[in-house]
Amino acid sequence: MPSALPYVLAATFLVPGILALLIRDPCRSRVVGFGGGAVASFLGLVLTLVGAMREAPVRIPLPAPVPWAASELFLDGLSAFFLVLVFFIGFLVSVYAIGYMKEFDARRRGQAAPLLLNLLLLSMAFVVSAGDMLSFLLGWEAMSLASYFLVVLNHEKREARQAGLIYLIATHIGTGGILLAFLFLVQTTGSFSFNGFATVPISDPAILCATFWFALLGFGTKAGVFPFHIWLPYAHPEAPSPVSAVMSGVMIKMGIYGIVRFLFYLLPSPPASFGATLLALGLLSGVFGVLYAIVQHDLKRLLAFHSVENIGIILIGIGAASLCQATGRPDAARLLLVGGLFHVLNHATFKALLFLGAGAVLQGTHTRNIEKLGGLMRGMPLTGVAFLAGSLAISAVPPFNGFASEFTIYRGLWAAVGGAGTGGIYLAAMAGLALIGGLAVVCFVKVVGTVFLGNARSAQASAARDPSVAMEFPMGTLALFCLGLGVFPSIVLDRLMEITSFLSSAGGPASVAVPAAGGKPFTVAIALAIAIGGLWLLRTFLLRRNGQRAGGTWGCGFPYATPRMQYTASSFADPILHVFRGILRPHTTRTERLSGRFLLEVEHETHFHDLLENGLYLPVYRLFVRAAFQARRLHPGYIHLYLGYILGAVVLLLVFFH
Amino acid sequence: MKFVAHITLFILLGPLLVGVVRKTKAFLSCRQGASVFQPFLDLWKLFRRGIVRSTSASWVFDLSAPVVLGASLVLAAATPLWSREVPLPMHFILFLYLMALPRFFQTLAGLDTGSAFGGLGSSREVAVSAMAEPALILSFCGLAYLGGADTVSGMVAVVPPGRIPWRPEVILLAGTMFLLLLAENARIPVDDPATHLELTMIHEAMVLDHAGVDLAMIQLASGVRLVLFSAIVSGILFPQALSLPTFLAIPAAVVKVVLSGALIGAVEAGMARMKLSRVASYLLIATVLAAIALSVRYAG
Amino acid sequence: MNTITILLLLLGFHIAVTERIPTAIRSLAAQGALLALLPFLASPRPLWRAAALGFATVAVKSVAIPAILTHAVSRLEIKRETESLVSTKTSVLLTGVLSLSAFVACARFGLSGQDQLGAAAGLTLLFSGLLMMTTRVKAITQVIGFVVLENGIFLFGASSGSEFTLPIELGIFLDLFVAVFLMGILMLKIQRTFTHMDVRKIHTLKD
Repeated sequence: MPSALPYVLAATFLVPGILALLIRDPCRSRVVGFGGGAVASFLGLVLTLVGAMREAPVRIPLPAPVPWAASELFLDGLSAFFLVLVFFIGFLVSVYAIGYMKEFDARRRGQAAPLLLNLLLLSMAFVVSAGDMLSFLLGWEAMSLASYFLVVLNHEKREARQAGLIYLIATHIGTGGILLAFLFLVQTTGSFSFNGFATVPISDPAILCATFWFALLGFGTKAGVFPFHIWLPYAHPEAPSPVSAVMSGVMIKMGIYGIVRFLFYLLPSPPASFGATLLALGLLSGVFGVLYAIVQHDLKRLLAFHSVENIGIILIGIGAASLCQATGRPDAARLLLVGGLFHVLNHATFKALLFLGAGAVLQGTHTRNIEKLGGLMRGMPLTGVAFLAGSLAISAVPPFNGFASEFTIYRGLWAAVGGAGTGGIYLAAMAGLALIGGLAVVCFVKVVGTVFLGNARSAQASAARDPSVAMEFPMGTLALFCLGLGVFPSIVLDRLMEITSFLSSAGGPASVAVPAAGGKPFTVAIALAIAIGGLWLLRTFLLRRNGQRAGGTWGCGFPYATPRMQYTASSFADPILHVFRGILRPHTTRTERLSGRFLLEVEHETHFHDLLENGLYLPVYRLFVRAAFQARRLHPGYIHLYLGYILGAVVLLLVFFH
Repeated sequence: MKFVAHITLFILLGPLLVGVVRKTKAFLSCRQGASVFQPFLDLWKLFRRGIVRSTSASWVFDLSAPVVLGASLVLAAATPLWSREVPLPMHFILFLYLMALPRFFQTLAGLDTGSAFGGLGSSREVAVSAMAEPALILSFCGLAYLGGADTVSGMVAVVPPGRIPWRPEVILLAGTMFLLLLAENARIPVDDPATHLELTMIHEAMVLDHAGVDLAMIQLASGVRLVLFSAIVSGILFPQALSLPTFLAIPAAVVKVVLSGALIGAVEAGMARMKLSRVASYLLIATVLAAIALSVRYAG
Repeated sequence: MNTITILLLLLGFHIAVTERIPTAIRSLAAQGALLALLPFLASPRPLWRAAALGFATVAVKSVAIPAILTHAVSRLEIKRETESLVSTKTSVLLTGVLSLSAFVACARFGLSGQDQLGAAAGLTLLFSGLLMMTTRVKAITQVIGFVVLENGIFLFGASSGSEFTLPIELGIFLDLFVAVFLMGILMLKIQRTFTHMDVRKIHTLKD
């Protein structure tokens, strides 16, 4: 692979972005900027698929940013897989953005969006292909900043500024963690490159543990793992929808990339406790994510909580893989890691699709509140079909792709159960995964049912129409991929088996992509298609013979049913809320206005506060603010005092450090 | 040929099982009751009727009945009824997740008509089945462990080796599966299939707006699913019947299904419907039992 | 034997989760009757000893104690609901966790097959009885919990392979009977004195 290619690719991303800043006409600027991003992503995708995937590992030296450490791009199978992810979603989202970002035309700030989005995509590509610590951190920081500016693109809204601030703080705490983890590695190995890290194992268990925990803090924050997920439900809804799609579909996966890179490449033979920790965090993220998602009414916030859930599922796969590796079951470990990575790709596909669909709904109706929607299947049939496909995929309904990867994880867990001793952990993980799957079905039946089916609950909802082709094309493509990857999972699974071949035991299977006996998704999909198609024809035939007429929904004898009397999303979620109220802790306020004995008005409000937000982060934040106020006394504004500080500092330095 | 026989048997046994359940219930409450073949007549009637389609409904509503029946038939094709060889062997996880497909569409159809009853039924249906999911997975894991196979047909149909056929984990798993059968098929302690227009019902509220052909397909699918669960429960308890020669195995399968129908009927006659908030405890008990069965398995 | 053990376990669960006192008493009686079969299966020789133990078990556990409890319920006009400090869901969850830990613990003991199941079931009953005594509000449900606990010990003893010794077992029955009888009388006294049976409020007596 010629070493000039990365520069060419970077230029194709950045030049159109800069051009978009210069072009006056907002429409043309959009087409040039986002169109350029799409072309660059497509180019990158082709290059990765035909070049890097085949030739991996590829090394391309870069000019060193600092004199004492060499910099390079290092592309192995894992990097190439994540590169595919970045470019694939990047391409479709850029196309979508051409149509969607119209709403920013009136604002000058909107002109910067193409450059920022392209920069975000480029920096993510750089992160996954970085071969040393410095370029990795450089890419990581560029990615964080670009995404921060994209979150606050709607900076007139207070919520957006607040979300941006929370995100900025969270992501920098995370970067700090990653930096510390890397520094531990540098201290032990004396090298800055990833290959150097991998050669020298850390012998001191305390340092190994510290490295892992700092890396977990850093990458976990980016990925939105349960205790560090706090920024995610703020930032994702406030960003423009294509940006949410990139952030949720791809950017949080950079955290997963980091965890996999550390656990399976940089830290040779990690102890079992690391894997167990990740598995436990995965289960917690999954269950909490989906439970909080069920009670949301804001479409994009709901999807954001589902990202927490799916990161949990991915972590279950990766954590269990590490655990199996540590306890000497490499075949199960390989299957689990493959499942986790496959879910990374699948989640990117369906979550990007869902966020793009949510964007189309938002553009059509100007509201994210699902209680105000309804019946959109009539006005937006294409969006509806695509969203339904994404919902089936995220709920892990076969034969869609969400199932394909969860199935692989299940099979890995099941293979791990087979060994005696610690089977209980894997069985608990299976039960947890099952609960998560069931709850995801609840959530997406709720979303599709209230947003797209039934009757419109507001005037905006009944006036909504399908968006432009630029927005429909990415959604349609993603929907096809949701089905296609579910029916033909072996396309990806075989590649992933190759990537993870370092895990296999000597006699391990070369390809376990499709279970030997039964369960070929393809066969089941064909059987389903035949059965459903046949019955559909039968139904059509019988209806033609027997007759069909339209009538109002049967109101059980009550006339005058209105759209407002439909089952609402909150009512729909109520049974689950009732069962899990110990965890969700709803705060309900009810005020009644009486006139004599007659009830005039009832106001009923239910709020959900994140358990961690109130219990952990808010007190810490308050403490911090209080400390900051105390610290403010130190600088009252007298210049003499400041000079005194300098004098004191110099004296102290001289006394303590010769 | 065998494939056609398998599916046909499922389709025929479904309404029969429903008839047996109703007859047993009537008998135990000292009523005459309709003939056990009444459900067939009902279905025949429904198949010849036209439908009134709600004006709020979209294509999802139209598609729901074929999806529900079609997916149930595909599931049936993986379930051993009278032989351990099934037309479509299926991994047990795939089997469990495939059950979500008909549920997804049926609950969506409930919401699609814009009626509060449909929404109510759908909401409860998904909640109940979500909470049943861990118990289902765990008991299927237990069965797979016992049977030493990971396909549904393989794991049910293997006689567990041991001194006595009914080892404790077998009994526990059969019991758990029976609890789940009642929960997943809208039977009495969880739902009441006989009530109409009650705010307490689940399944019936969801299909309130289905009529004619659609209703017939959905009722047929309910029957097939009931047979499917009965076949699994009786397969756990009497695996020997699955290795009989065909001319004996088919009558044996019919007898097993009729017997489980009688058992379901007896439970329904003897119990009242639980209040909805207790369903969670009920399913939690099922989960705990499945977990105990697994730990017995591990211990023994 | 296994079937009986499983049934005992299921009845134990039923007692632990039911919300109605008469139902719990009925299940308790059924448990007693099942326990009476154990001596015949575990150590049937000599027959007269097994018969005597079985008879005593039935007499005390499925006739006398349920009778006393039923009498107490009707005499004291206790409301039929068992009241608990924790919700049903939580108590199911706790019982489940306890029983799983009982099974894990028994697996560690290194007993084999049948014995292990019995021992674990016995331990589970013991735990759930204790749990009932800790979490229930009414004195009568605590008595039920106490009897479940005793049943657990009996089952554990029967499964751990040791022989039934008639005098000891009979002595235990006598103790149990007297204990339940005394508790019945005490409940009556408490009821008369305080007009309620809420154990939560007894702590006011501490001075």
